Amino acid sequence: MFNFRDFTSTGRPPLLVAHRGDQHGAPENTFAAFEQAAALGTAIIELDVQVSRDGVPVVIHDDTLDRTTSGTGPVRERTWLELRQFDAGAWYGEGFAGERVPSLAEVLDWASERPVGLLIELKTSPVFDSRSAEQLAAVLEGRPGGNIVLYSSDHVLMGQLSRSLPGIATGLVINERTPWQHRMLADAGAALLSQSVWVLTEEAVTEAHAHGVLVCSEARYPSDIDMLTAWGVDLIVSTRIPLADLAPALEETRQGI
Amino acid sequence: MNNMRPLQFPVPDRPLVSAHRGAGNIAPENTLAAFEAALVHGADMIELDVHPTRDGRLAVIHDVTTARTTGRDRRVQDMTVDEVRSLDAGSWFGPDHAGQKIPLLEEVLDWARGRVYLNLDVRNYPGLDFYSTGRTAEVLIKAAARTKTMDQVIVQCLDHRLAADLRRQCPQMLVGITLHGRPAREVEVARAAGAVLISGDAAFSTPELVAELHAAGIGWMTTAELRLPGQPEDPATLAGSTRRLRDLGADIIVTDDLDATFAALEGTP
Repeated sequence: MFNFRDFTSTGRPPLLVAHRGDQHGAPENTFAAFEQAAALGTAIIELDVQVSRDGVPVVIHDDTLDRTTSGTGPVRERTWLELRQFDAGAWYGEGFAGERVPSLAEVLDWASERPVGLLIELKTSPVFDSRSAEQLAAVLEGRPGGNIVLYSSDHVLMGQLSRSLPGIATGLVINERTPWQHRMLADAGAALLSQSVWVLTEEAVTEAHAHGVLVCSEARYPSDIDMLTAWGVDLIVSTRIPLADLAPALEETRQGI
Repeated sequence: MNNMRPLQFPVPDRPLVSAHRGAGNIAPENTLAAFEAALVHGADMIELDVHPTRDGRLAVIHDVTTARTTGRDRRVQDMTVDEVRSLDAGSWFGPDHAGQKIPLLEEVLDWARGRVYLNLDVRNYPGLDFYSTGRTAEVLIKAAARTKTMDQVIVQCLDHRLAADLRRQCPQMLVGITLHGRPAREVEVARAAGAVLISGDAAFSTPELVAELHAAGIGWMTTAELRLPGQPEDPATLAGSTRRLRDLGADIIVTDDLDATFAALEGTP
């Protein structure tokens, strides 16, 4: 089983992360996309979490159902039972009809039986209020948690979660270039920095590493992978390059995990 | 000379209304046509985006490439100012706007002198081939000084080191920083950069945060929402968001619809 605590970046290639599962080969944020990412040899899968009307953390990117499901309107206005009814695969291709919006608990169960880690982004639109944060913590409590990182641009929320869930690693999205980067990370007890490739610098990577913080960024083009690798970035999310095109690199990055 | 009152935070009276990329709902964003339209529709401030060209000038455009607004898919940083100027940045919006150019920053500063405040969002990405906060600061300061617009400009920095460099080279220049999400310690982060303004998310705007910033002499700028996250679409959203941001003490409200924002501010809550 993958464990973030055992993972150090020094002297090894970065891990390539599947964005919303195998987003280019299956409907994003569904089990089809997660299975396919795992089959392609991805060590880490990135996914997005929001909370349903009745407090169930669910895996979906947009705050509305319209783009990726047969439903319409805001995710937050639907109960878990309602969300289960919608088709989350047919929009992508007929062969994927019948895919559902997974719950976070289901995906955690799935990942616990496989050699994959999960990068779980807590969406901030809508903002996770204190009730949603408690409901999320309830799903995570008592799990081993070594194979997941929770991260978000809501640093206050992440500080609260890192205190209430000491067994689970947390990360911050910091999408500005600030000399206060390390203090933000330290305040929130974060073990991971997620920073856009637009903003990231080699200096920021070095600074994070000096404090034992892993760095995650995204590759839009193959040249980004080369640049981020040279800077020592630990996790590279492939947002625009299909995972299938990265198969040799995936194999290489799995060595030594 | 310049007859505009220097910007001060917190702002007195009502919030300033800033036109996002000019009046981008009326004319092609980030062109002189959009800036003229913003003035006609009452904007107190115009938000515009600034990108360095290959030969070290500053062009007014939002995206890294000119694809979306001119149809020519090249990075601004790979083009000379003459190449940038040869493109048509108006036709994509509508035939009436054919021939609009990508403006140079100095041209906009000259046009704006004495008329409207400007918020210059500098797209000074570290990934640029010739990234240098010191040099970008120097070019910005020279442009504002030559056009005598120093008092009406506030430079908005995603790169907080650019803010610090601007203040070091020219203490008179006002700078703002951009913060995403809910970062905590906003006052200290702004002070370290020498910023008098923070641009942040509407979703994380609260009266408590704004009061804390105001006590430190720092202003809060955010964008009136066209749709609220987790809520259905509703034409009344922009007005409601505008009033909420005013009531919690925002200093600058950025908008994509000047008329709707002014109507919300003037109408009774």
